[in-house]
Amino acid sequence: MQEDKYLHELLIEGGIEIASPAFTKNVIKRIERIKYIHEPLVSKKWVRVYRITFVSVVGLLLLAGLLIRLSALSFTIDLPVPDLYQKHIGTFTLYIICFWALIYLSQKLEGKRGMVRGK
Amino acid sequence: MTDETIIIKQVLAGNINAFATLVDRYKDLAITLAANIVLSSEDAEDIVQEAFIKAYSALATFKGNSKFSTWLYRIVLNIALNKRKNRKLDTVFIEDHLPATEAMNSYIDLSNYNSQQQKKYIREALKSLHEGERICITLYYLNELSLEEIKELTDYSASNIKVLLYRGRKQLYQQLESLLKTELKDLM
Repeated sequence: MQEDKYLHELLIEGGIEIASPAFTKNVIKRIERIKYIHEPLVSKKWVRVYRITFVSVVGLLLLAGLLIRLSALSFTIDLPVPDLYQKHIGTFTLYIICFWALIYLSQKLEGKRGMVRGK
Repeated sequence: MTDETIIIKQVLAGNINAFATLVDRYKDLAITLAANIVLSSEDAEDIVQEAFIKAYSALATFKGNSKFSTWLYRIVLNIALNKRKNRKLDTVFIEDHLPATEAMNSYIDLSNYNSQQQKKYIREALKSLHEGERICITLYYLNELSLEEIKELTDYSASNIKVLLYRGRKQLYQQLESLLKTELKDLM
């Protein structure tokens, strides 16, 4: 029993490895770096709120803009809608691009397309 | 609520400096455990750094059923064993560091050695044990874990741990015999 006690003391005295002086600092530095890389720009809850608000507001504005444009054109030129589309293809293409950009941005805001830092 | 639980709560609340307290508290013993598995102090530091980072990332999953130290040592043990497996380290590695005659000669008079040499000799004696024995001896004597905690950590059965401790102790006694005798003489 006594030998066991001294073996314990001997091992404690000579068997413990001592960490380098900068060890703790290095660990904290590495954690801070990883934390920064994986930390999203905003929390998931707020991403959802932003996304819904952004898509709804911009989507409604685009839709309203399209309807106003269509009605204004049909009043002015007095043409049926299919003919209007042919005549003003540039305008409609612009609206389609805007819708696509809206969907793309909303996905990006959610982090699906690499909005998370470092990915 | 223990001091450790308070620190963990602070870390979870985003206080990264509180984690430094835990690192300071356990770094030496964690490095000792890793070093006794991979048999290299430099690799042991890397392993323990990785273990602390993993522990930090998974701290929210720590339920507090066991001590934080036991949980951390489990991470260290897993990383070290994986690293050892990948590098295919084996007992040949020990022989590179320790001349065979010195390692096996149990009649070396350690009382003639200075403190640094004694430390080196103790570490080499530890290294000469088989892996299972070395892990159990390290966890029991250096990390001061109970048999139950070692069982939880290593997945060895209680009787297996006792056998490994007995064998490890026996071999260490042989290697450190002269040093133990000197210490006993000094005390008498």
